[in-house]
Amino acid sequence: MLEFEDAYRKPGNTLLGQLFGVDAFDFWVGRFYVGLFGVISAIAIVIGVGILFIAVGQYGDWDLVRANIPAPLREFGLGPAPFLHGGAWQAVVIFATISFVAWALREVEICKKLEMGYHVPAMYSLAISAWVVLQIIRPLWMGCWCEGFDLSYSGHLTWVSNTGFRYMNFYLNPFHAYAVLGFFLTAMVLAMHGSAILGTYHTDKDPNVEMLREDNFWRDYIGYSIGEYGIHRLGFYLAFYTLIMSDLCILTSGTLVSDWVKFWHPF
Amino acid sequence: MATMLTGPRVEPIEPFEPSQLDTDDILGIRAGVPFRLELLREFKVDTQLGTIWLGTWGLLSVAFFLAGGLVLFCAALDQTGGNLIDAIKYFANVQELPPDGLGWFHSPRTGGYWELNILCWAGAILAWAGRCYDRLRRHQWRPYLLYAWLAAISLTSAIWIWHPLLMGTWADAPGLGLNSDLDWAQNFSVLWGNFYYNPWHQLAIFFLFGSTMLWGMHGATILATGGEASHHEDAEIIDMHSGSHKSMLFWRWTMGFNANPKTIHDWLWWFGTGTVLASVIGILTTGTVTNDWYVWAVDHGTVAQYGAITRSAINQHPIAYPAIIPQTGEYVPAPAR
Amino acid sequence: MRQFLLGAVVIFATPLALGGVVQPLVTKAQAPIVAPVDAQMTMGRPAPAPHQTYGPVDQSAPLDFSTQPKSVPHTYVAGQLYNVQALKGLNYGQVVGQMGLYTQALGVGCAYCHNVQNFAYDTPTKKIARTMIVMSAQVTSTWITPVKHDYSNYAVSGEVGCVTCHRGVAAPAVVNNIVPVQYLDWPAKSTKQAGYVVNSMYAVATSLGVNCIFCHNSADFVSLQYIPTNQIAHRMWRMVDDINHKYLPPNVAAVTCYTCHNGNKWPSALVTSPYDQTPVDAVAAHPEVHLNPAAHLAPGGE
Repeated sequence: MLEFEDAYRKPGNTLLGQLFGVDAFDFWVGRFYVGLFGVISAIAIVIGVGILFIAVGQYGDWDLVRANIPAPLREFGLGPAPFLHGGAWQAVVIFATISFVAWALREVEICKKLEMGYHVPAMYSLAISAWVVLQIIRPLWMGCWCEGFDLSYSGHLTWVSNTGFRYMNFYLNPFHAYAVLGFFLTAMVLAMHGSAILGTYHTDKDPNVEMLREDNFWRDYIGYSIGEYGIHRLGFYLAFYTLIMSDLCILTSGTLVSDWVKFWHPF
Repeated sequence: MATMLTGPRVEPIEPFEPSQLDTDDILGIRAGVPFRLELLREFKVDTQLGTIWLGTWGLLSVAFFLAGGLVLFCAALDQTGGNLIDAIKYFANVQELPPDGLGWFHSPRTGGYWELNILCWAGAILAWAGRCYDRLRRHQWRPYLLYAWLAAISLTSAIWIWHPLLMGTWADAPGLGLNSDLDWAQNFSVLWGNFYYNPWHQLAIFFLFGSTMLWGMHGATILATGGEASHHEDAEIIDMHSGSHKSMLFWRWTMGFNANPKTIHDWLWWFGTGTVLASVIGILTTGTVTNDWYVWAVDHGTVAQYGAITRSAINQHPIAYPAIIPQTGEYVPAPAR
Repeated sequence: MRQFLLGAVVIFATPLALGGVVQPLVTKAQAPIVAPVDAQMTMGRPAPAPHQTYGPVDQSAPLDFSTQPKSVPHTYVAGQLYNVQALKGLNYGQVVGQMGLYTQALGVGCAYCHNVQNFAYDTPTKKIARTMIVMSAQVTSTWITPVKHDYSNYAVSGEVGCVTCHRGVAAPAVVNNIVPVQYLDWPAKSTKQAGYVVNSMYAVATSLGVNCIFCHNSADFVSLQYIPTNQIAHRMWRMVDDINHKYLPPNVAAVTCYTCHNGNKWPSALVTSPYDQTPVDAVAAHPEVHLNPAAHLAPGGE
């Protein structure tokens, strides 16, 4: 435990506690907080990983690089598929999604306990949305589970490559371009903010002087200093923007647009 | 404009301590009247716009940048037949393609525009690095920002200069222009055996997505504890208060690991700069270590193989002629031309 | 909360307005493509300028029998066959029947190829027509029949006839955006070069109404050993090169994938045979021939 941690480890402020007045899962295991959603998430992870191992065993190829859980074949459409022809994929996706959502709700409970804002689970939910869009929403829209990506290292990589070329030139997808812009801006602003703090911490006894030095540098360098609070807003919203654009870029491919080259000269 | 450069020296709202490095610069002036944009208060960011330092390095950088922009504008007019409206409407399609082979002083349409533009913008980037160094020294920062900028320069120069030099042709560099840059990304990957299988590219993507993830995490954490002044990070590094405590405990309880107000910025800096550094290695190893990343990946066991690989394809054999019809095994030579 | 929503709206609206909505409306016409200086983009043939037309025959020009084959009569008698070369073996009725099919397929009259005073007289268009007749039979036997035999699950009913390329006009519509075969050398000598090849591939794909993954696994673009569509495409490319070099008259635009395929996976105007040019509805015959069987080998394949 960290020196100050004891004061913060207080029971209460959980969902079950609010509903029933008593929460059986309100405890810590080592440094990890459990909670109802921690239990749900852990169970989903164990079952999902178990199914993963069973499936890999049934496919027979344990090679770390070649082992693959393929998405269902096209002929099964949106229905359940036999275990070896996509059923394993469907099961793992279900349990993975449950575990992700439970993790987010667990983060909400921890925020409530620590009396913080819910920004972190909000951002995490956006990250989960990318998974949900790719594996659930878009396949539903396209009309078959085969549109999801294979669950494996090589499989998902080749899926990304082939999906890009399936729509001719994915770089010309405007949402993709905006998402890439978001990613590159995020990386740049991240390095800038890291440089700012690492450049000025412990350079003066007075932290207000350090903050002034930060402001002054940025004003000299680029004419504007967004401020200590502002930079975190910028970073947060850049990440938000990037994820939204990513969701949109894959959601519109294959559904609304099937040729991103033709998109720019449709007539 | 006149007041900016020739008017009386205006004091910014917060005083700058005097510095010899400021007065030594002949083109150095802290320009602009600090202007408060109250709208920004709605977004909870700093409201002061300006002043900006116009130093020798900065002005040099801007001059080079504008010169390059002028070259691009000339190319745009050239490619739309002098029609200004079309030049703006089809700006994304303007392309300055590099010349084939090495060498300078090609005529404009066969690579001259590209060369001139590259020289101008290379000057701009390098001058900006000089500005970065100058300002970091003046404000007595540790030079992390300079290293990050130099890393970015190393990537840009690897793509536009070092890799083409290694390959012996400028034509392997991107053209200048929106669509031609995007097309380059596609074509470069197709030529070199699909960049998804380049392990340095994979590492760079890990850092890139990780950067966005870290911004989501760090930004959200600070905003969530903002009421307890966790955003005064320099102060929190010296002496932590409840905001930092909660930030650290949130992550410790969630995932079993936490940074502290100082080390999280190490993570941030290394992920941001790591993206660029991994990319540089990925570009420089292309065409040198291997000319087909998929074949490399199969050979080094990092990807499953989807069917047989046509290794002969990377040995300078044209694919249309001659070819072997798989079913009959018949060898079909090229017809006489 | 309000500023959050305001911020979200701004973040959403700006890129949509700038990129997703306005730009395609602005670029209604095809944007001016800057032709690369160093590539002739017409399958190895010079770009035609202006387009050479070979018909109709000038009926008032005097007949010069010294340049004609011996079998051409000085006085033409209707009802008899003279100077039959490509259609040897057919009787008079069959030959006239063929002529009728040709006029339909090309949207022309008799006077386009013949001197109507003397149908046996050889005109430039008639000579080209002979090459065309031989071509459609040879293309079918050299290229199409082996593909149908080797890739029977891709076969559609029908064979190549006049209407397959000509489609009711004397000069087939062409789309000149494929680089000549010598530029398809792979690996390309630079990324710029690779771009020309990729552009060609895009032209092929749109000519057939398919995407890249129909013939390729993008993990390994050049490998064709396990993707049937890619193998077929190789043969088709050699066929097109063959046609352009052996059979076309000078100074016409080159044949490309689009000429026959016209935006479909199989040519949209097939006939029962080169000698019985009744149109065939290939789609009705094989509606299921639209999937790439190699898709399951490639994650993300269609």
